[in-house]
Amino acid sequence: MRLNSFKLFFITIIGLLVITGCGKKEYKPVAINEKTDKCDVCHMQVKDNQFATEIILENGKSFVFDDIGCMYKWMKKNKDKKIANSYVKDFQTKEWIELEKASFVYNKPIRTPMAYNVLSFANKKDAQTYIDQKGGKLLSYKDLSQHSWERNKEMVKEMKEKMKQMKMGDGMKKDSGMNMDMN
Amino acid sequence: MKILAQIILFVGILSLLGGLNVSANQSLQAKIDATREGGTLKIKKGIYHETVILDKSITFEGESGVIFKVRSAKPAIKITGKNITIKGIKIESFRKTKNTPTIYINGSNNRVENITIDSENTGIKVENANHTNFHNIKITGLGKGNGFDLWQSTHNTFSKIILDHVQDGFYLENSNSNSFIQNRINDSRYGIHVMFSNDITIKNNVSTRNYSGAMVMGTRKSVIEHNYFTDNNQNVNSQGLLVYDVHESTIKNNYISQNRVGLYMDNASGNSIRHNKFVSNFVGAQLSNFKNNFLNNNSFIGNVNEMQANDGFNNHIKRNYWDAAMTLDTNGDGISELPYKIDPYFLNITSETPPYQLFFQNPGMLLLQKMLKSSNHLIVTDKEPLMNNALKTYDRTESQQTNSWIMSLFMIFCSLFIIYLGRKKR
Repeated sequence: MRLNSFKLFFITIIGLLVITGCGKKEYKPVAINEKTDKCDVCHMQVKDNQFATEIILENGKSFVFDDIGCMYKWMKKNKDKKIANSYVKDFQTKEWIELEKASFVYNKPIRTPMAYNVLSFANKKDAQTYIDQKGGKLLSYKDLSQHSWERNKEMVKEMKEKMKQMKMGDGMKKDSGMNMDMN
Repeated sequence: MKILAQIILFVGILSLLGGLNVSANQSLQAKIDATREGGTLKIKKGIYHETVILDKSITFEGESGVIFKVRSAKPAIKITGKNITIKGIKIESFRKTKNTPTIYINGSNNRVENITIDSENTGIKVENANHTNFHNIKITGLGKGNGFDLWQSTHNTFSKIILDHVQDGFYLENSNSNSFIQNRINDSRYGIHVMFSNDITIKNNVSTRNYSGAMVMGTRKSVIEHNYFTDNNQNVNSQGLLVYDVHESTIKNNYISQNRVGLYMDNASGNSIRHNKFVSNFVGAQLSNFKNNFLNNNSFIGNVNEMQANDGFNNHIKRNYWDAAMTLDTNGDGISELPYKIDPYFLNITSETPPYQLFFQNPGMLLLQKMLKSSNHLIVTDKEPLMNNALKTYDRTESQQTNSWIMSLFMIFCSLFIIYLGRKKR
């Protein structure tokens, strides 16, 4: 009888261990549906391209974004939400990669959907190759939390300069009507 | 006699084909190069397969029946320079290479008019182009490329343009001070898509059956007026007009009807939203993260949900007409003494758990709404709702009314006639 209760206890422990082991949830990325998915921050349609990103919460709910900048904006606003995992896409293969394992390139001239100009790569080597060819700055996952996430201000600034030159070029033309208030 | 007729027919067909071939065999580029500055090059009716570059001040004009059929990796027409006019041309452009627009334009003070484009890719790419006039253009696509794609281009005017089955009708990025007047966009993704561009005028346009009538993002001091944003309900995320990151702008006298969400506004401040009519939308207006905006003299009629709002601060919402409001006017000034409070309770719980939509208008749900009121920051209050709909004139046109009169009279006569025929004869 004693042996039996010991056996029962032992089986229960093993059983519990197995159940808890199996119960470990995996948070896999959800495929983008271009027809219905929209960015939770900027409300634009999310295209299934190299700029798409995704957050999966512990309760299984997922959010998609059209630009990694929008995802960081969301994270900043929703600090209380329990994020299980986040994904970005490799710039070349367009495959999902975990945000924490990816390498990033910040490159102003490239146009991303919301002009945050950050690209993601599955490995550092590819990111470096991109920089060697087209320029930019290499960023790690840790660097991203320090990143300013400003929307392409430089480009706007350049444009301002250009407009100024154009204005001057036009001489004393009456009311060019330009409004360069671009904060 | 018969033989003679056959000969005439044969010669006629031959001359017609011959005529086409002659014009098609000559190099247009050579003719362009030979045209002097300020001159006009008239192109004869025919089908052309070559691509051309216009880089000096000339008028390039096609007579009726000029068609460019282009399968090159280059744009069919590239315009680069000043004071160039192109008009009267039809372009059919279906090619394998992506990202090549049918017409590419930069430079300034140019004019593009009376153009028809059938294209898989972007219709007209406008890059670093200023003070250019686009008038009477029709672009039909396959939903893959934008009708117009503007990049760093300012002070251009787009008028009387019809865009059908394109990706975005007008897409503009970093392009200030452009005007869009009397255009029509349908069956596309976004009718007008503004990104990071200030001082934009969107006036008298009709945008229907798109994912969104207009999507305006990152703008200041823009004006959106007298437009029709209707039937934009093709998608679960559709809206008549979406404004995001919009400041100090004016949205007035628009007719926003039959959309999933009429006006969707997020991250907006200092805007004036007046005299708009929101009719038969699922949600009339959905506002979040908005401050210092004026929302006056709008009409909300027959919307399933009139308004939903959160994170609003210091907004001036008054003197709108809400057809669902319980109003009472004791002093006869046309303004209700009872404020109108809109509780988005149902929308909030259904956004968390969509299946609850089954309980729409359920008595239990209404009871819950009364008992568990949403917190104050979610409730929109119009302090002085209007008693009467000041914007009623939009509704029925006179011709519609006349038609219904004629129809009623016709039916009365028909029924009298049937009674007359069917009565018992003695």
